[in-house]
Amino acid sequence: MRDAQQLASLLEIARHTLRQKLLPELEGERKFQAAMIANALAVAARSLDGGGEAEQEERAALRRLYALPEDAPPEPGELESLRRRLVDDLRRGRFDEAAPSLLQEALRRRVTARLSISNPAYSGTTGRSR
Amino acid sequence: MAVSPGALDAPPLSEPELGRLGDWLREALDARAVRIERCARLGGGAIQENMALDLAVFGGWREGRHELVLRTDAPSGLAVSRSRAQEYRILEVAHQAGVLAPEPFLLCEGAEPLGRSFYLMARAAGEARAARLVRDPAVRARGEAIAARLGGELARLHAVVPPVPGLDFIEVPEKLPMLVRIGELRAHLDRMSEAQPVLEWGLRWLERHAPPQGGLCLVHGDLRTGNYMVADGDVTAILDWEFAGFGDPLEDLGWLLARCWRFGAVEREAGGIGSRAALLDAYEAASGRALPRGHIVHWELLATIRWAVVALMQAQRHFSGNEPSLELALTGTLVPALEQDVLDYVGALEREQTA
Repeated sequence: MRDAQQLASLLEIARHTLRQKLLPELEGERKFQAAMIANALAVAARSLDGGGEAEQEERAALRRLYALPEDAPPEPGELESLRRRLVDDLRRGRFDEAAPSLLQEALRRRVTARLSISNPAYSGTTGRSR
Repeated sequence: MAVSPGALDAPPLSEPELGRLGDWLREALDARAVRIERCARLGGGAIQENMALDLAVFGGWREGRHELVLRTDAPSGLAVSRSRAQEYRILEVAHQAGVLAPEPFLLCEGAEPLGRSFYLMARAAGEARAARLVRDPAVRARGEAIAARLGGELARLHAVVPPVPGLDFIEVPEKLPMLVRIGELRAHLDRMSEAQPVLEWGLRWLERHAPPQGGLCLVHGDLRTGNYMVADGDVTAILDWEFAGFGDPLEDLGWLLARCWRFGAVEREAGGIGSRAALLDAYEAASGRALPRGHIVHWELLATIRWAVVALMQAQRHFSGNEPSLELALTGTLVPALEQDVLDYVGALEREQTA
């Protein structure tokens, strides 16, 4: 397989086939399992397509929050250590008094980026999904 | 992926197990004979295994036919839930308090005859699956009555306050129950490989804005649509008591009202079934006291974070390689939507405070 896009397309046609050809033939527990497989294929396809971007988005917002250079190339483990730093700061109360708008933005961006992969139809308070 | 379709159809107990179970029942019930007429797998939770068990008992103190549920530990249990023996005691207390809990029938604590402890309880008729209930027009037409019924049941349960004879294995919280919960959730998060900034942000916010205690009583701990049975438009049983403990009565209400437990029917705030007012009005009528309604939203936020933590733990059971399961793996994909809910709840609470 040449690239992520083709792999995503492969998963998409696998999901389409499952939904169109197999799901209508199934009932009960087996139908439920097939629907779960279709769901897993959809998440995997979207992750291949946009998973890297979602992490990039989250990392960029955390770098802004901590006034780190935004255009530096990503280091291995950087995103997780930034998340860990934020969690430690939150527990210590560093953002208690004035949650900076950069913090709000970092949290919002993380959620939006991750939702675009796991559940793009979900829109919270105003949404109907789930 | 080790999902073998055959496993679904395999009988839940082997012939030798059924034989040993029959012998054990005959002795425990002091009966001349016990015939197991049916043993079939029921849709279980991720932690316990439930089977339908129909018995014909000849002689002894339980003579007659019984339609029961046999509940035992699934091959790998989560340490966070209670033992079957403890759950049985809780069921006895709830049932005696007049709550619609399934009537407890018999407890087996020893390794015999199944190699793990189990208990039997009455099997209620009806449907518990949330996806079916929230879409069923007949159930929807009775939604307000069902929500009111749940409010009344919770009020009756919450009238049970510590100390309760027989329940001394349950810890009585020494500080604010909400702070106890926050501590438990952080301990779970500390054991995970990925840091969770949005969930931690919600926990910190709650820690700083925890409302005063709304009381201290026996709480169910997992009452949501999916964990009660409905037949002919009414609740027939409240199930899944393994998370019961002493806590704040508002915790049960927040769990049932949280946006994440509405199964798509977001406008029906009580479990995707009925209105908030129907639930809370009935609760107040049955308990005879007014609820601090403004504090329930805090518990809805806590419920959202707790479900996210549980979902992460369930996903980890798959991804650790210990327990391959598509359902467990997919549960992890629910978390970003729960994070969105956390941000929405905190935003709404903060707007309320500044208004």
